[in-house]
Amino acid sequence: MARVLIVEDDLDFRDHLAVLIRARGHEVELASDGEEALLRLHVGEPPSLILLDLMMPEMDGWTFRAHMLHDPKLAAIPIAVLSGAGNPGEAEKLHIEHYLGKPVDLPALYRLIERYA
Amino acid sequence: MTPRRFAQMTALAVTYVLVARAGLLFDAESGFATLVWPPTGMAIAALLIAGRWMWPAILIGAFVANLWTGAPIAVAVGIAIGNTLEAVIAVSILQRWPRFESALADVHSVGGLVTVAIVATIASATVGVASLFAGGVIASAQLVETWRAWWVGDLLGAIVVAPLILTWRAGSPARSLRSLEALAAGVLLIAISWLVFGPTFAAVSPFQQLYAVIPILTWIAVRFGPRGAATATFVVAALAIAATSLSVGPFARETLRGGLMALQVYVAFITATFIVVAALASERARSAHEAEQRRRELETALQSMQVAREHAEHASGVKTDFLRMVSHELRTPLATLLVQIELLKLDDTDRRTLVTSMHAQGQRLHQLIDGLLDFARIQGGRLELHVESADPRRLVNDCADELRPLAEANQLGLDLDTTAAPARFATDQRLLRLIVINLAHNALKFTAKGKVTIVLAGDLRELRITVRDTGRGISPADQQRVFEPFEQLDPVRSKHVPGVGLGLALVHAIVTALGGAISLESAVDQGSSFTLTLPSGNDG
Repeated sequence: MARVLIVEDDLDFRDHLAVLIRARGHEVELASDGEEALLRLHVGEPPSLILLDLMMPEMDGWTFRAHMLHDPKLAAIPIAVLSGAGNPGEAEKLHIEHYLGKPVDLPALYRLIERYA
Repeated sequence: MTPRRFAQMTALAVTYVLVARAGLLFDAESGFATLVWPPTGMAIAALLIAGRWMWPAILIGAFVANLWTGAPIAVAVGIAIGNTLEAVIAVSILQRWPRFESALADVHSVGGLVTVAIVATIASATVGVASLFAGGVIASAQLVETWRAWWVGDLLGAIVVAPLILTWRAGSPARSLRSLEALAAGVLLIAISWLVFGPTFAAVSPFQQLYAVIPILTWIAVRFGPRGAATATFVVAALAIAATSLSVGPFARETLRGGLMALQVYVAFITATFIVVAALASERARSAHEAEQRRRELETALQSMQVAREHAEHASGVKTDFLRMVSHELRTPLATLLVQIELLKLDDTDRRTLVTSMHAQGQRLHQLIDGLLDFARIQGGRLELHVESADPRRLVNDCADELRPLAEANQLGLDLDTTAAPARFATDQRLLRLIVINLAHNALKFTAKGKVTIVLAGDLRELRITVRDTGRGISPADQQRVFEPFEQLDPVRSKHVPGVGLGLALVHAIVTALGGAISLESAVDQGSSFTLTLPSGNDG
């Protein structure tokens, strides 16, 4: 079982994706922007994977990633970018290993989550 | 005293008696001043670990041990006081020794222990020898030699036994025991010690030298730190003492005393040298470890700076990547829609809610595509206006109905005020609808709580539409940017500005195409109010 944190401001997308991932037996936590996500990361166990949208109001994905890299405890948590605007190069520039984009290739997403389960 | 403390003290006292008896076997002067006195090191370690309150256990243990050996009661009391005083003084000094750590992993702490071994043992030797003399056990001629033997015996006990106990208890954080290498080192140490000190001494000439143990002790000190060094020197000392007491090896003399005295000096130097070497090796390993940690921290800090720079370059880029913005706006509802379709395949889904939401996503996509096409037409100068006269109140009502699910989902009110509206207005009805929908959609999307109000007013010649929200408002600096031409709106920056997205840019373009104007009134935390005025299409 993996622990997935979805950081996404589109609540419909986020909540429905969460249902799909939970249906496959994983645990899902939700945050609607970078700030909320950071708060979550500072309490409790770290997630095994973060699904990160980049364009969000308040604290966006770029700022969130910069904050994560500042904290040695958080820097190593794996991330996959889920963004409709970026391109795979964007993830690379952010030192993020995985890029899934939108719409999400669900089988690929499930495989990725399994890898971190 | 708690039962637990009582048990601890009893255990210490009993152990002390047994270890003392073992030490007294190596008789030196008059049966009391032994040449090796392991209880000293044990007592120092015990008081350091458990606390000075354990001192009565030392007192009782030492008293019983000396009584057992045949000392008169008064003399045994005197010696016991000396032994206790020694341990208490040693621990008092070490507890005040700046930055003393019982892991003995730095030269500073080892220095503390060696100092204590030299100084505190003077107390025991002096009080003990005085007791023997006062009790008539030794004559005045024996005073000096007995004192020397007592002092060095205690010193040796402190320096060999205390590190052994302290390092095993504390563990050596920087160096863990690598089992295979440790086994090899242990076997080699015992083999060489046996060759050096054992009965084969005379037969195997290359190992006659006492310094043959130095390379292996160095290896152990460097690789296994203070714990390894304390253990190895203890093993060497124990084997050397055992051999010497059996009258074999390089320290075998006519008397046990003569052999052990030479051995004392040897063990003292070997031990002191190698616990210092181990401390140095630990310090070096620790600083290498710290340097590696700094390097890693720097690396992530550097990455973080790169990301921040990337972000800054991105955010300050004036030229908008138009495709990027369109891509984001179209892909977001599409991604949601596809996830929702997948959800429909699950058995226990609330299909009604899901389908309502899917419908909203579909409509959003529809609006976006229409908007994009209109935008492309405006850009290409190919926008054809179809002016018709219709009831604007009805149009706004329809728009509100379409947006109500979104308002409900966000728990927002959606109010209409059409009291001052004209009954009919001539314009391109489809574009008017696009304007109202987009303005209201943006307002609903970026308002956290409260309501969105659409006010329709005007007359046959001019229509005024105001969309007011109770959101967090737009700062004056951002208000300037809100009406920048579409191409210059950056998707990242615009996301920071509530109420600005593709929709608003499109509204701006359409209103301009219709010959109207749009303005914004807003203050941070006061909400925003977009007002647009459209001239009648029949006037032109």
